[in-house]
Amino acid sequence: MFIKKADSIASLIELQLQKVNEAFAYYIGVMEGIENSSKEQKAEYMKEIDLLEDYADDVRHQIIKQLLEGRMLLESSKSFASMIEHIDDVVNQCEDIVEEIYLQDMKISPKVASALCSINSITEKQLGLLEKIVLAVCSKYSIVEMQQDIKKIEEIETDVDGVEHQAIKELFASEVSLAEKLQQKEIIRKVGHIADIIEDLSDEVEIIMMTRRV
Amino acid sequence: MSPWLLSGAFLGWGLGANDSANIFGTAVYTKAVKYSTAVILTAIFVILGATLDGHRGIEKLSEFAFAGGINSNIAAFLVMLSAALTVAVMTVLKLPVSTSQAVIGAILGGGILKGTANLQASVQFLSAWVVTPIGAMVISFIIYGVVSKVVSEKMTHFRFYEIFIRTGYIFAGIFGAYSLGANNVANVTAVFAGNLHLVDTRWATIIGGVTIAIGVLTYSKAVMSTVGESIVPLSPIAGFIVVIATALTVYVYARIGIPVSTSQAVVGAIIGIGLKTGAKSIHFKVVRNIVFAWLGTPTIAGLVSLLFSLIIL
Repeated sequence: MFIKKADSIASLIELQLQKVNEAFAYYIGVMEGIENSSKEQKAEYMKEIDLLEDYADDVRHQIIKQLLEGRMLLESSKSFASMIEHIDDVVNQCEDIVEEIYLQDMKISPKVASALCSINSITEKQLGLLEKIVLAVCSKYSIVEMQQDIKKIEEIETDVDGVEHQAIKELFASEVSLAEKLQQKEIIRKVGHIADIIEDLSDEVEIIMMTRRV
Repeated sequence: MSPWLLSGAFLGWGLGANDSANIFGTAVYTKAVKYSTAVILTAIFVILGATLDGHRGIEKLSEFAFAGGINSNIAAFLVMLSAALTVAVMTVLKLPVSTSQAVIGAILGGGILKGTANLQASVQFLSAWVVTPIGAMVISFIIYGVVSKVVSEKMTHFRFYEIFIRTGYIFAGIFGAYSLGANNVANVTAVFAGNLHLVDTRWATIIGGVTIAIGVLTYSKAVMSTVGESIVPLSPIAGFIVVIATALTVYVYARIGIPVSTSQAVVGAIIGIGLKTGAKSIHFKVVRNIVFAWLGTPTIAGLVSLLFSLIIL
């Protein structure tokens, strides 16, 4: 009885991560071709990512429902609830970025597009590590390995910060108008913020590890 | 059931309503166990504990009460009424109170006017009050050390963690309920049993157990919620180790035949775990509350019992 309750939530979290990965993969694909996309294409991207975000949200609601039914211990419930909210924030951020590009019909310069792709590529590695530690905390983990992975996630976040700052410096050194600079700076920040969300998530996982002790 | 036993039944009901929180309070708060499951298990195992292991406490306490001058139906009724009122009023005033200590105080108070109050015979009970939290402290210290060594590596396993904690709380709660029934049933019906012959030992265990169970089933929710939260385990495992240590301490005294306070055993058990982990768990307020219970509860119950003796007897 207890096994089924615990396993059910673990399965749903795995499903949520799957949906987040799907949404993120779609988002990366969109961002790779964004500088050449038409307004109609951007509208399509927005609809599609909105749908993917809804799928991830559905799973999140199912998890919350089970947590509210008392399927886990209180401490675990609180930590897991916080963790799944942060996981959802990853997709929300992707959706937000695509939405902003569509609503403002933003023209992304090639240099900025390239920087965004670099950031997303680094963040993709970070997301892979995150998936690994979240699944481990829902099954079984080695403390040493987890600490190493969490440290790598933090290091990747620092790398993303570096690319982000460099991209903004180059943007403001370029010939584009101030309005466009501000627009694109905002997008660079938002894209870089995904790495921050993932890093915060790894902190949540660390908290779960701390509560799971004698 | 003789109407003289009603005051004991009132005390039993209050005991069940209050003390069940010490057993399943933390389990319900941490959602290891549902409230409905907790009260049903508590009621069943309190009755089992009372009927299977409650006779020693009833025999010892009834002997002490009868020899101390509680040798008539009305005297027994008034003693239990004094103890019940003391516990009820102190609970309402949110003062620390122990049912076991209130009963002893009421018995001594009831015998003062006759000159039969035997302080020397009460030493065995008084010493148990002091040893209870210390015993629970030592037991929890040892159990926590052993459990830490055995399970700490397995705690990284999600399934194991959830199952172990829940199972631990259920086992601890069941044992706690059994010990509560075995130890505290004497508080409820002992003065009516023994040489007074108002009820025989067998029926005393049954009636006492059932009245405690009724208290658990009808009025434990509010206390369980607040006490469960305020006990705040140092960790989930520490939470059920506190209950196990309490249950073991109380059970030992059930076998000896001396009713003791589960609340004070809980405090001792928490201190024991704090000593093991190095966490600060000894607070002046807690110690002050225990000392007040040792001195204040029997004194107040004794005075109430003395007053009843003066007025009615």
